[in-house]
Amino acid sequence: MSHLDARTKIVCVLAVNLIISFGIRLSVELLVLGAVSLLFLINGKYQKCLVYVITFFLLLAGDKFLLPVITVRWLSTIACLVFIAFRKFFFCVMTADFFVSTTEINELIASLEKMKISEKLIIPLAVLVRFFPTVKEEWNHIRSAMRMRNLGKGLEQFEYTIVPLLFSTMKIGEELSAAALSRGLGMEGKRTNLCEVSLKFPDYAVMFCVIVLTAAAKLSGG
Amino acid sequence: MENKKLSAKDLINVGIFTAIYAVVMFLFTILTSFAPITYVLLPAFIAIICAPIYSLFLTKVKTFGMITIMGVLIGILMVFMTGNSWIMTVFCTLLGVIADFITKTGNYTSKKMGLIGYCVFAIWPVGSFFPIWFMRDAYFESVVNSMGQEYADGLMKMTPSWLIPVMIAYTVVAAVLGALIASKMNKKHFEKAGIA
Repeated sequence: MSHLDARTKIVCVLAVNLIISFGIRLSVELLVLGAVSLLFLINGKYQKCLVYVITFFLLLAGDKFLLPVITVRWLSTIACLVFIAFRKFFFCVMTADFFVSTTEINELIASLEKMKISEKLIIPLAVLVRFFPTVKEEWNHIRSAMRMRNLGKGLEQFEYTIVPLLFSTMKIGEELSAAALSRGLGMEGKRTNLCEVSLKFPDYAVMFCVIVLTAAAKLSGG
Repeated sequence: MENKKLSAKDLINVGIFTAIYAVVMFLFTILTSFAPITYVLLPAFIAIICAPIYSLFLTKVKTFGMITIMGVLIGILMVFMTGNSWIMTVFCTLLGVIADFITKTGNYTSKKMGLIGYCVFAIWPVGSFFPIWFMRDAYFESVVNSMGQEYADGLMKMTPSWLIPVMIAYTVVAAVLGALIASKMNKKHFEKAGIA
């Protein structure tokens, strides 16, 4: 359906980040929750949206009902950290997840190029995102191989995991860079992208709402 | 030294090493994040765990900018994947630039300058604790609002503002320790295999 541009999503993430830094109150929290949930729903991520909403209300319930009951000092300090501090992080994590789970890497690159961001940042970023799952996969392979041979107790684990991980990922990295170079990554001149991106009406609408929300949070908070 | 431009291969290398660095860091964070005390010590742990990765990365760095870009990328990741404050990106970029300059004075070959550079670079996870410092008033105001003064006092005691300098201190110590382990590992494994 409506597909937002990566630039719009970047604005969303930054705006939520800003709103959190103002020190928000419950009304704003609910508003932000509603707004981000709506974004999830529009993109058809019903399950994720539900998980986040439930998590939020559990945290809120803990804050409102559980905290006043706890009388042990150290326990209440920890509970306070979990229910209040974590709730502040919660929105950033939720919005970031929305950004990551709905953006394809080629869209992201196309959008970043439109933002006139230097190639020196885009190339490493693209490699980074492309390489993430590979590193994770290698890590899991190494760990399961270690488990199978019953290797590595305590501190040894660290060396036995990191060294093979570096060996294997560097080899894969060399292959990847050879592949990218043979496709003309190091060439001079402007690169083209098959993925067409442009800001459309929904993008402007969302950006407008986000800015209004941020301003409202700032005014009500200050 | 000659002022080389960043080649495509350099940029790819930055991406690869940042990916390894980030994955190891994230996995380690998940493994240790169940207790508050390990959360506070996390910057030191990361400084040790990621030292071998960084030191291997240094052997590939020959041009100014690579460490800076790594800093920027980590800063962006921290904001867009773990929901840190935007201050994090600025902080990581700054540390990346400083580390880059320090390492450059050693022509990117001096081990001593590389070590000092790493000590600076390794401080970046402390940035995720900055909100406790910079937004202290706003943060505690909201705690007071919903919890009452007593709770806020208790929380404030647990997170004193001198925590940040202390954190930086033990992170730097951990970075030195990590670098020593890394150089041992380098001798034992990577130099023999000819990739360092």
